[in-house]
Amino acid sequence: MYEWRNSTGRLSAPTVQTPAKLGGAAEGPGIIYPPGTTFPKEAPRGAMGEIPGLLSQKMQMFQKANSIPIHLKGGPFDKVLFGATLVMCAVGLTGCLNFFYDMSFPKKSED
Amino acid sequence: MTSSHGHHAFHLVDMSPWPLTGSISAMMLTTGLVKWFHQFNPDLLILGVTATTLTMIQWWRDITREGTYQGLHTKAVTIGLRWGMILFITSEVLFFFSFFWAFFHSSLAPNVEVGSCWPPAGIQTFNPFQIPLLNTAILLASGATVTWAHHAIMESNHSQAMQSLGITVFLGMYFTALQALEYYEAPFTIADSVYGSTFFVATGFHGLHVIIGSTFLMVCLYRLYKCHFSATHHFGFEAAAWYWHFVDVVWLFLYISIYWWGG
Repeated sequence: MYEWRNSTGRLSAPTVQTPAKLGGAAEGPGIIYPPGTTFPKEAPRGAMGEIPGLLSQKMQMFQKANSIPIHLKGGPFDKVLFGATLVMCAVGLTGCLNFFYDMSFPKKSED
Repeated sequence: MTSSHGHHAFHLVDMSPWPLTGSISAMMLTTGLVKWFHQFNPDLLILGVTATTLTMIQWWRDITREGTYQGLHTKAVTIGLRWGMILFITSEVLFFFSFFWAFFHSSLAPNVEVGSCWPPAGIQTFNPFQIPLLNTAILLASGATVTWAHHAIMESNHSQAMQSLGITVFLGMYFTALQALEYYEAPFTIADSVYGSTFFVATGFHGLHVIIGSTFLMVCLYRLYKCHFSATHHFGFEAAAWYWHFVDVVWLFLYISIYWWGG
């Protein structure tokens, strides 16, 4: 039903779905809500009209259930930008440590 | 497929690398500053600025994706974001409070080193009724135009919202240009006694906040153009407007105390 994940230290919904016909349940026993519970729902669009086409496409792309984390979900350029940031941080971190080591030793000034 | 959202109205975010890259970038910024001062080499500082900028772009891009594209910003989440922005602006108020303290410390009881008078002997101050007054008018007008933009968004008037937010961004950039001109033409420098220090540090940090606020508003203008905001849900814009009003109020305090009373 639910799986323990070491990375988050929490129970989460399983990524592998057991087919119902083999006797596995996709979800555990339903929650019994007290009578009169209000549930969240979308605000009615009313007079606002349809969502513009490009925006609707973005919504569909980012709501695809492909388990890609949000920072990489926009396409290959996300990976490029993420990679560049990581490389800069790695180079910079090394540069910082190098600087700390260098400054730890007093240099004799030529007087 | 079962949802990992759970039966609650809150947003438990995906694992994200940006807190870590942001922390490392902050260390690169600070260490880079020290390296520039001691070894006259700005390479680490420049790398730090770049890494910080990239982290900010990607982190806020992800928040836009989660809110606008994935619909994860419920009422409860938005309330949390409001509190967050309020607390952040409060911390900025405290930041500026310290510079005003420094100014009043030196100007209310001027010491013998500056000539026992304020402004100090030999300092040629700006006429508060020239460019500084124009800058005041510009920021006050921009406060009105950003309010106009908010009402236009709430009334689903897209063309007026674009126009008014566009004017707001323009006014912010106009202020920055005029202030840069003032800095260039100033007859005194930051090194000219405590007057120069208090003037340039206080107005300098304010100018940086004008640039930050203008950038925030520009991003909102782009998002407005892309129809990210609805009449009832546009917190990104509200946060930018709150920040802009804060920048405006800080200028009013600067103008009254440093430019006018202190001039």
